Amino acid sequence: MKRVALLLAFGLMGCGIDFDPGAEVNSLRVFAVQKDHAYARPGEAVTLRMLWGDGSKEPGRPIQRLWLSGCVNPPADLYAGCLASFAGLASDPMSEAPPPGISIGQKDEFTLKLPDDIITTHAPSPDPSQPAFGSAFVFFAACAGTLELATQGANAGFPLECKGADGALLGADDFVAGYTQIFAYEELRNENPKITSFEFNGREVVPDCIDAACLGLETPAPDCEQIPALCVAACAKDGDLKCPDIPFRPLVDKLSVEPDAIAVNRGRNYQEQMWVNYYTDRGGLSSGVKLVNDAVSGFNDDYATKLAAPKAPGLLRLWAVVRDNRGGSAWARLTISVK
Amino acid sequence: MKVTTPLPWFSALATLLWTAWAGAQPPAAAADAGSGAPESGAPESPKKPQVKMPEIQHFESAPYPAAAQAQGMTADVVLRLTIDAEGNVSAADVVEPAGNGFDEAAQAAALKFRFSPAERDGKAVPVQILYKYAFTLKEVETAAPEAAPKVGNLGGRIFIAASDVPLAGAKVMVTGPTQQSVESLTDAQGKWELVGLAPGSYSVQVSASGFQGLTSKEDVTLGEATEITLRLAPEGKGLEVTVVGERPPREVTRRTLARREISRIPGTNGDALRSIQSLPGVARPPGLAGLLIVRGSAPQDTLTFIDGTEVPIIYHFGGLSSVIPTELLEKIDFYPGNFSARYGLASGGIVDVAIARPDTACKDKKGTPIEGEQCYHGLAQADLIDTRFLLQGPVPNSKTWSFAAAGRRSWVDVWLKPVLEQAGASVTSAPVYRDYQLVLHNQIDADTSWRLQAYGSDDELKLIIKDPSTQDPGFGGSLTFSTGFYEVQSVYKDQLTRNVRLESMFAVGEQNIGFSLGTFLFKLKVNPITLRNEFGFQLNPGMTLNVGMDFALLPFEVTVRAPPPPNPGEADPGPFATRPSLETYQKTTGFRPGWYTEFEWQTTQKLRLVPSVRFDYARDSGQTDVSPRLNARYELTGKSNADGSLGHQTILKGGVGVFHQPPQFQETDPVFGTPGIESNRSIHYAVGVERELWDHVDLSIEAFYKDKQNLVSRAPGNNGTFRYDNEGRGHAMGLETLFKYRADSRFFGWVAYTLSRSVLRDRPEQRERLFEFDQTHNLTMLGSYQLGRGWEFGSRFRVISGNLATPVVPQGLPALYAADAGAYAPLQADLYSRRLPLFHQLDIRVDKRWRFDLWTLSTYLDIQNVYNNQAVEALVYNYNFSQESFQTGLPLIPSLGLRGEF
Repeated sequence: MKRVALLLAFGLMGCGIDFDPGAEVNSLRVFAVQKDHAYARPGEAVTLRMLWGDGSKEPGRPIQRLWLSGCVNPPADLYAGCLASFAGLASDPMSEAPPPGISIGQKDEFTLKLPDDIITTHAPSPDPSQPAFGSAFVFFAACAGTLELATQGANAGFPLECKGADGALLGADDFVAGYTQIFAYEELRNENPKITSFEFNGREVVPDCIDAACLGLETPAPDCEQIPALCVAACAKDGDLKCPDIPFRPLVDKLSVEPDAIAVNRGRNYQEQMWVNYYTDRGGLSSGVKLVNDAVSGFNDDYATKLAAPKAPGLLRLWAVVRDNRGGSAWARLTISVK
Repeated sequence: MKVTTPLPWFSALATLLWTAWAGAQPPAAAADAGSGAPESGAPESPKKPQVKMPEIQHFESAPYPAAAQAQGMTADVVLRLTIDAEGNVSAADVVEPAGNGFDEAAQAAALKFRFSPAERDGKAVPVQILYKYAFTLKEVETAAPEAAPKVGNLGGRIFIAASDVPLAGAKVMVTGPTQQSVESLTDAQGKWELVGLAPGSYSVQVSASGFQGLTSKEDVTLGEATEITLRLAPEGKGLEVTVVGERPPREVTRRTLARREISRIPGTNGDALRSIQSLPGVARPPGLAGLLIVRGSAPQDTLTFIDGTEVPIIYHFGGLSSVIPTELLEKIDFYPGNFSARYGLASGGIVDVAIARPDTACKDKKGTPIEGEQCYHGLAQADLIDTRFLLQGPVPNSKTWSFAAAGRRSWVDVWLKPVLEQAGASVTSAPVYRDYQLVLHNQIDADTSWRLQAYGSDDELKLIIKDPSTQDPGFGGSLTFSTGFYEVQSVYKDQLTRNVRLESMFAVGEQNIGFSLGTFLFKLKVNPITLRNEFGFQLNPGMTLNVGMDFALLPFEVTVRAPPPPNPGEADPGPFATRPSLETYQKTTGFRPGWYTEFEWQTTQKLRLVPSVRFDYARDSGQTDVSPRLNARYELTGKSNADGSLGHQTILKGGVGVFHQPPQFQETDPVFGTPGIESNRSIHYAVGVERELWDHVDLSIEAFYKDKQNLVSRAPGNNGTFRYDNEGRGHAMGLETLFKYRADSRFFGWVAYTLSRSVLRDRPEQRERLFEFDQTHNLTMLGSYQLGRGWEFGSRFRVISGNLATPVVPQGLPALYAADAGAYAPLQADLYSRRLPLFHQLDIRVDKRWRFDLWTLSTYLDIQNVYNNQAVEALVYNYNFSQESFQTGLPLIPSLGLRGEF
């Protein structure tokens, strides 16, 4: 009956595309950037942390990280309006001084100070319900080779490119670039979501780390005798969803779900929208994104995803990144042993 | 030297069309709510009705207009004669005017005709007939006139009623003054001739199996050949219902489809508005998008009206079906461009849907019409998508009032939900739609009618997406989507005087569109009050003045909470998930009055000019627009050749006009847009030819060019939103070809091919690009054949250029990681710079009908995409845009329907 139902459903809705799921990490990945102040104040220092992982077949290879800041209040508050402002970068941005107004960082953490006039230099919003604000974009990159100024210049897209040892351009598996946006308000604050623990196969377990503690942390092997819940049997095929699947989720503090203050000011009883992105470096997941809190209907307890273990024994890592729709984020990591 | 003298009155060609009228004149549409055509392939042969046609007993010769005679002009005037039960002509209305004094002369003469009363089953009944009064001139040699022969000839052609389809094999029996009869049979062209008849009055009786007989009185004159054209109506059923009018008098192009064609086009489930997509100039919408894309214009540039009132949507979810069921349609007028000044506020095309008058005709068990009685009709239908019903008939205790009530509800939600649940799908809800119609029609007299009707539609989808999109997690959470509207409408039509016509429409209603997803919200409620009046003044036989106004008062309330949406031509803004929302709320009243003046000027018998001008005001944008237009049609060759024989008509046509369309709501909204921007302007040019190649076959070729100016465009502003202006430009051009076999008793079909190109330049500093829905080639071939015994088989094959897509940049990083959302923002290459693979699809349809004593059962199987072509609908990428693939469209979809009707 289920097969008939599946056939009917696919027949009516069209077939899906057979891409590798984004939740399965088999290349260099940046999972998240966390700001200590998702909503900051003018002149405030904001520290950003980058959570990344390398699921390639060359574990332990050196990864260059780079932060680029200096774009404030671009046209229409779109990141695309920032790219031209990096045109003055040196050809070797990792070692040469950046042009005035641009700051560069090379670690997992980066701190920038927002301009004092970030709000006053932003034209008033046409929406009178919006409190005055400004925003700054910070770009970042992670490269499994050497970062250089893009030969086609900043106007062609992202201003940097990543080259391998042989001088060849590295692609999306070895080079990740992106951006984050920091909003500044005089009064409004947005706290990051809060992860308290982890639940794996129905049991609460202690994750490897939460938030900043995960940066640069080695992978600990769970003690199967002490914590048998963290040790699972291998599947006959890698990531086979027919294999007994194991639900897991980070435990999110419901109290960390905040009202959407701007919407509330308009008389709408909205909360933050919150979701969780899941990743694993081995095996498969039934879903890569799950809804944690709906702005209208509230908390969704059913936000666990399911792990299908890999074929080969060994360790696997699970990441869960919880985000809200106002730039807040939190993460946790759990290591599992496959027997 | 030659001079011309008018032939005697009896050279007038009488064309009688029995319209099955008894006290009223139901449109053919109402004669058969199911198909409007004989259902089986072989003409079914119900019992021949006991019908006696009116026979002319006194003919009044019309004086030949002197000026026209002096210029050597000839003309045909088609009159609708109302003959009472005593045989007197109570009214003679000009149906096809000829101008130059011919109309008045023919009318005056016809009012003095006297007929023997028409009878049905021995009972005298009033009737209406069409009568063609032909004014012809005979060339006469003035020198040495020959001795007049002592005999004359009588002949002509026989056609199927309401068409130009010749009727072959019809028997023509001519009875002369001595009561001797001679017979002839019509040939393949419907022609017949009897020569050497003695002068005098003759009775011409025509009969053919499956058609109602017809009798005409004709006179044979010494030395002259009298040619008559007669049209026989099928027994029982009307043959054809025109749903898109025939030759447009006021527009350059109006496409014509028969109701049978609409209900039988494969791949459409018999849906009327979806059948429009098989016509030239209409692009295939991508996937399940219920869009109408006409001649390279954006979907919002084409407006849809129901009996003159604009409706916000024409399709239910996914374009699965129209909001008005086919069974209630009288006609659809589709104008792909250069439309009349009676329509404004649109720069693309116009679709005007007319709801049919309720069917009250009675038929006996064999389908023969019963005069003098009114009956009720109904139908119930179900297929995989929806179920529907229709009930219509007379209002009790009334001779002039009739009603129709219909409703429909989708039931996909009923069976799809358990299927999805069984499949373990994360989304287990399915959309629901319903529509309803109620019509009260009062046919006050032959020229006056008043109708009160209400109709509406609701579509609704509610669900919670617990697995948000990986490419934009903002698309998750509570989702509601609803569209709905209702209208209560009064439609009044009256021929106030012989030369003044009035059409008046007044409507009030409500329109609602709602969408919410997470914290995004769009909610619009409009209570439109619309009024449309048109007076038609026939100033002289060659000129009619149409003046009209349409008036829309639009109290509306709108709430929008969303980030500014991306526009074509702009860099991808990144995932919506974390972009801050703007919010606007407006409660105000829009006001959009329009006035127009239009002349229909028959400058000569061959040339028709329609100059017009329209004024529109839109209070929301503060714009007043003036739109002059000119359309022309020239009859290169007529239906009659110079020697009097019947020929094939050729029409040259063309037009040029200015069309304005106010900015969209969000473009002038103080929060999301820029108040004060101007209307989009488009200049339509069209030139073409229509040629009847053979008796069943027409060829139409038309070239068009649209110069799009003053288009609303935008650039990023410095306040978190965009600044709008009118810097956009573009053009669309193309060639439309329609090779059509008009429906006969067994077959219909056509080949439609459109070659087109549509481009836009969003900003002066940007490069020209292809319009999102540009389709270079669009070929549609379809046909349907009645096999007999109630079976009909049809197929449609389409080959269309692939959709356009915007790929990511070919080199370097394809996307940036938007860390706040956890998704990637693509770095796009040139907008719509990739043409996806060719679309091709075969659809077939099989119908079978069983007729019982009191009702009819029919079923159909409509199979879309028979060979399961994996048609490419879109370009899709993996999570970081490093891999691309094709999103394919719907696989083979069978749809089985069952219908019972009485």
